[in-house]
Amino acid sequence: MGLLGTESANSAPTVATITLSTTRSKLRRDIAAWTLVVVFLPVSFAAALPFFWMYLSSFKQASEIYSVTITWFPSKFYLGGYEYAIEHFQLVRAYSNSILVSAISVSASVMTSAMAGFLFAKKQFWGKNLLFVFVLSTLMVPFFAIFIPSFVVYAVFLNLKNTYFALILPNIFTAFGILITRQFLHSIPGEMIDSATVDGAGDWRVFWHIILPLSKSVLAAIAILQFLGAFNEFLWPLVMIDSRDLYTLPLALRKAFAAQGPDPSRLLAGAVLSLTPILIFFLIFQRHIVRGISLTGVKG
Amino acid sequence: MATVARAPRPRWRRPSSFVLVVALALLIYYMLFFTAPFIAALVIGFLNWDLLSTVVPVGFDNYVAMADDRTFKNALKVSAIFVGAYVPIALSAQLILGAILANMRTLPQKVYLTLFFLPVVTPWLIAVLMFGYLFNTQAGLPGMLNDIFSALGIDTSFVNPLGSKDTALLGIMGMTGWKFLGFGALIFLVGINEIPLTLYEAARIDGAGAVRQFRHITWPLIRPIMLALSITSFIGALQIFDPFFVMTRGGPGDATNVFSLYLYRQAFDQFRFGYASAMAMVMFLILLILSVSQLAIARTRWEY
Repeated sequence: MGLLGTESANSAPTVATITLSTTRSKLRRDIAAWTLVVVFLPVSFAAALPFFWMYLSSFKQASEIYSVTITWFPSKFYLGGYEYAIEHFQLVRAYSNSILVSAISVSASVMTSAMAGFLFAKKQFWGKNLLFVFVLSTLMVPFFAIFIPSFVVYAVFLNLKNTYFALILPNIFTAFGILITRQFLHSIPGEMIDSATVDGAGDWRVFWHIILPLSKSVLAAIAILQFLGAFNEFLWPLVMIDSRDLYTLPLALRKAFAAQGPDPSRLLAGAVLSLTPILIFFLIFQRHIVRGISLTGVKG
Repeated sequence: MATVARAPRPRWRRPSSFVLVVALALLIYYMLFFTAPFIAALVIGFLNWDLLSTVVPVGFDNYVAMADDRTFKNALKVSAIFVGAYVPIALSAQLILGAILANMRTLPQKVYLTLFFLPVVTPWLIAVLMFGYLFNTQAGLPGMLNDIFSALGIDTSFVNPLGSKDTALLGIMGMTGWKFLGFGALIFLVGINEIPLTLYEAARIDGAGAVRQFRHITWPLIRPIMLALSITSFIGALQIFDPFFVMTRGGPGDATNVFSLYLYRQAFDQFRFGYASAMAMVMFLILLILSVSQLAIARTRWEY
């Protein structure tokens, strides 16, 4: 049985026949699995095609990009696009703005997610279920439903137009993060918390010394997903920020597009410079994303 | 007088400062940034307001105006076509990809998943830039396809899909599908991986092939995920804004002037904040009805 691994762990009939047939079918399944991989190669290539094309074309001159005979690799390695993009697109500034806003938003929302998750998973208080349903219901409200009045509140009443604060404030609490953390902490036995409470630790200390370290992995997952979301946000910064010094990356890119010159390699170079750090960030942290999604309780 | 022993009732305990602070913060935050704006949107929908001059209450005029607004009705139609075609096709593709990935060994699964996830983390603006060139008739994919076919002796004339009223929406749909394929596939993959392997073992011993295994094991067990993803996809797809705003600007004509873009323009180009708010309420209602009806259908049809 050990030889067969878990594959036939639940089969009882004569060992010899089972062994033979399962090894054969295992081989067949191995072949099937690898055939799938090979057959699938062109499909995944198609998905990655725009990236290849963009990276390669950012080194091409305009005449080559628009030439009728299509070339993949640049015939001459042209760096003019990069020079122009670095000089004119203010990408460093935009990048710093984006990172600053996203980092503060994420730190805040991770902290509040942990606190609210602890509150809903382990604490009893009057009105708890009502509050939880209230928080959850915000997930069902489309952004556009509150878009106009939110703009009015931020721009007119709070006078927060052209401030970082306008971009951070909407992200301080996130229902999604609260939900995931609550789900995670729910599955954790309460003894650890109880014994700490008996020892005289208050909720704040329990939160700080037990809950926070305990939920590190969930919080990491939330942080990555939130970060990517905040970083790529477009519509809200679009209406909140006019001042070029405060442009986030998507706004700076849009500005560059709008002032589109004769040389497409400039834009492509700008896009490559903007995208590469995001992709590297994703490649480093992607396992957290996968875990984050498995934790979202996709069970429904 | 002897006291009558009462059953000890759980006494109301003073909540700790932690509970108090966090619960109150939550309540205040969501009241301030969700409930209040939502009620405000409802109210602004009954006003004529450009944020500068005085507010004029107009009753249901904004809602009545929608019925006569041909661009609005067109936007509703375009959005309905976009969402109605995109969501089922995209979900099917995502499910198929998730199922295929689930059947791969760990390493290729990881590699492919990473590849398909790249578009998900790419900002819309960069995706728009890439596709802007890829769709280019002369220098992009259409030209490439024409070259390939003419080499085979077939005369084709593929052109930029965004250039024509009939295909522009399709072009954006393709882009959107490309962008979110990996995300849905990952969710389905995680769901499929949670199905106990013994179920498939049993089916295999009973002689069920891959297709029947999918139909009788994977599909029924994946349906709750399908439901959740379908509801969030409808909510998400109706609100897609960036590619329409940056790439087609609603054109050619009004062929891609979707609900979200028209709403934005009414507010921020025409300064008709009341009208835009009324439109937002209509959008909310549509999504609410869609979500509730999907849940209702799921409950009657799927619960055993």
